[in-house]
Amino acid sequence: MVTKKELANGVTLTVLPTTQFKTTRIVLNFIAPLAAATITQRSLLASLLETNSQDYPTQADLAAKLSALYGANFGISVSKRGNVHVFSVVMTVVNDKFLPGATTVLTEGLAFLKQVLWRPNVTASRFDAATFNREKTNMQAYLASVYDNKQAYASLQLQELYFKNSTAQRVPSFGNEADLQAITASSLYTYYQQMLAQDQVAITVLGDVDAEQVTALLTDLPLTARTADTTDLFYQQPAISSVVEKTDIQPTNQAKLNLAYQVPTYYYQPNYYALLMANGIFGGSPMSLLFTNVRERASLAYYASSSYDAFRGLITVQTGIDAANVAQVKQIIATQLATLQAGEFSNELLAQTKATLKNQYITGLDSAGYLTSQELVQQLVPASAVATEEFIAQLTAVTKEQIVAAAQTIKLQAVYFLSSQEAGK
Amino acid sequence: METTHYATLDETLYQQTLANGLQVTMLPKAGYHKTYAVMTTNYGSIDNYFVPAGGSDYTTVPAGIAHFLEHKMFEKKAGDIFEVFSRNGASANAFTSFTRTSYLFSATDNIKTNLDTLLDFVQDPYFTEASVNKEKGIIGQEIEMYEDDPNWRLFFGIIENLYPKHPVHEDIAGTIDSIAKITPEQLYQAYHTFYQPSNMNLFVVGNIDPVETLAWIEANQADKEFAPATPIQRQFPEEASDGSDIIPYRMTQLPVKRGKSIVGIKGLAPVSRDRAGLKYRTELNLLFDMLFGDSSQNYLQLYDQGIVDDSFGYELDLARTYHFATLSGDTEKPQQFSDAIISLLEKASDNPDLNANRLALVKKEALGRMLQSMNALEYIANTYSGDDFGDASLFDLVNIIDEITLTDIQSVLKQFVRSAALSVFHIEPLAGDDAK
Repeated sequence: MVTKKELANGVTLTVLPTTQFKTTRIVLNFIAPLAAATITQRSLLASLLETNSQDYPTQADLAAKLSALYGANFGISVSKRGNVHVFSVVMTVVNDKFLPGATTVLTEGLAFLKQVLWRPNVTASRFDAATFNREKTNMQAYLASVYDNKQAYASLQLQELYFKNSTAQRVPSFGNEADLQAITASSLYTYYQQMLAQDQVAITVLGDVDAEQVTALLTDLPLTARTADTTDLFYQQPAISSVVEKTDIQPTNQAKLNLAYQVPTYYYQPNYYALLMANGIFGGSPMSLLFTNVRERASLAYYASSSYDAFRGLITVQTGIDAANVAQVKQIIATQLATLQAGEFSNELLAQTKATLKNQYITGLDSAGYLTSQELVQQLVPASAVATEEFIAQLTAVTKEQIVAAAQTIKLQAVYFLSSQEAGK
Repeated sequence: METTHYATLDETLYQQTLANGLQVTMLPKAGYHKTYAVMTTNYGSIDNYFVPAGGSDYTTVPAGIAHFLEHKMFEKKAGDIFEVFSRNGASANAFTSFTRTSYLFSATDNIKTNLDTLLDFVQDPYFTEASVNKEKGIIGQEIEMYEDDPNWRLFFGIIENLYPKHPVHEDIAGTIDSIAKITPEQLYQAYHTFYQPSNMNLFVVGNIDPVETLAWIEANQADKEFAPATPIQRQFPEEASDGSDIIPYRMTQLPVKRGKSIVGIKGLAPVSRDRAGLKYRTELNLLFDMLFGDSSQNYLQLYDQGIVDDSFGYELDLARTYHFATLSGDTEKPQQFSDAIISLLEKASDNPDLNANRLALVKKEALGRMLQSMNALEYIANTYSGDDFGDASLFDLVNIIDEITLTDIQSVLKQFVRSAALSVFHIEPLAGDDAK
């Protein structure tokens, strides 16, 4: 039985008992309003806290502890969900019942989390200088190297172009170089104290565990009451009437064409299922219009797909093509959207897309990572807490007319083209 | 049907080789919603020189043909197989490696229908001039995409150094020029040679009843006629057993922001395709964990000196006819990186990280990771059908890890890490490239 408990104001614990997995997954989500000023700090914090702590003064000490806990996985990731930023501390341990001898890996794993988060490598209210400088340098190098991953680079450039009204949405979830420069070992520690005290905290434990024992262990964490966050999760910006376009030229073999479309439909809000279907038919499924027409019929790309960000009302299209074909590819993409909006797609494609989305949803239930992230999202958007049967029923009920109506709300806003000039082969 | 229970993992494997030679393996997973099935032929990008089924002379085919064949298997006279899978709620895919080609689906419903689709489409080739030519544009873009990936370039850079003759140094997808030469006839020839049921295996994992599932598969196969199995004959260029033909160093300049360095070690002695081979691979993995893992003093020192960062990694690639290890990372100073790694490798036998306590620690970690991997159906199926150790498989790793001693580690170090087997490849940013 699922147990939900408020450990303090703004601090929740959910225990999801299951025997499906051989592991227990523990996630501590720290949730804050998305702000340009804090994204980079949170990203650097994730690196620092993963590196060492007072109890594990070197990386080798920290890694050795995880090895001793039978290869426990520990990591911190940062992500955006609409107007919030989520700092997720994740630990996965093997269930003690599968390990040789009498082990207490879960108890020790939770104690480890408490140590690394609440006894960081700090003296005199500053992060350890050597650790801080090293991680800052490494992060700077990492941020610079995003340029070397052309798919990621093009997708970030498109965001830059589309989110005209929001600095925070333009900053990548993992931060940027300009903000990094300003961070010091003491300013970061000050921010960390604020994060621990003020962020909303959502803890989830998934596995074959005793809910009472887990609750007792987690109640021990020094998480005090905090004021509720009233941020509206869904990001909205006014639509523009003329499409923004930008082209960059770089020495690559393949050019990237990425497009951004606005939609007025949000996660589990009215018309959500219809828009999910519209995106699936457009470019979000294996037999989609984009895949069939850009790749299979015209032979112009290896990948051509769309994805739907239901927290920001955004659909993006991504393709990798020959620069010389850009006009033709743009034309085909525009035609596919028009086809979708005119309802000129087969019932067969509609049925395939429904079956695909249903399969995707149910398949997610086999992933511990998906289940814990779904739990977080359900807390953020209570309307999304639907049973599997309900999801399938709603999806099945979507009509062609509803899909067409949803498709007609898709508006092109921005086009980013990373053109290529032949690289030295 | 043969049944093996693995007590520590709490898993039971069911196996049967069918009359036509197809090897079927099943792993029921209670509590899971999906079923994942992967059908694999023991044929990959390196198999470019072979005797065609029914023939008597060796033939050479263009690089990239196994991967091309994989793409074209999905297109039939009646249409696209993705459509058939989609209709039945399955998500399908395929991949080609140096030594294997695999076709797979994952579904939560209509498992019998989807299994029939998988078996039927893999066992029914259909290639035409027009469809083959059309695919050249698509695969051409796939090749261009990988060309732009500096990590891919780094990896192939070191393989080209280590294997100047063996076709493992060729890109799995081939080149724009090599795929231009591919014809439907060549695809049929490769198909009939390597897609014989006796050269293939099928792994099904998930929410299944193995008896029922096997009955479905047997019924499907009983309905078809197969040509009698013919022995597969393939050859590979001979490489110097003392490593003397390895290119010790090359570098290239690319339009990247950060440089990269990779150190490769070529396995000079062949590895047996049995439990001893799997043990050898496991010993090498533990050796590298001890020397370069997160918990090693070596890694800590390299990290603190700024020689490596989180992009550092090492891996072992071991398959039919070749094996090599690589250690790589992003760096502003590729030369410093490779010098430091080679210096550690050459003096490894005296390295303080090679001690009994650390072996116990990395063994604990390896056991835990093995147990964690039992959650991942795709990982289990792909690893099982990709490995080539006779009766031994990843399910034997619990016992193998347990058996390994410090003496084993010392001896595998001596056998594998030899100065003559080392090579280095660097990627440096183009001089004067100050791209924003």
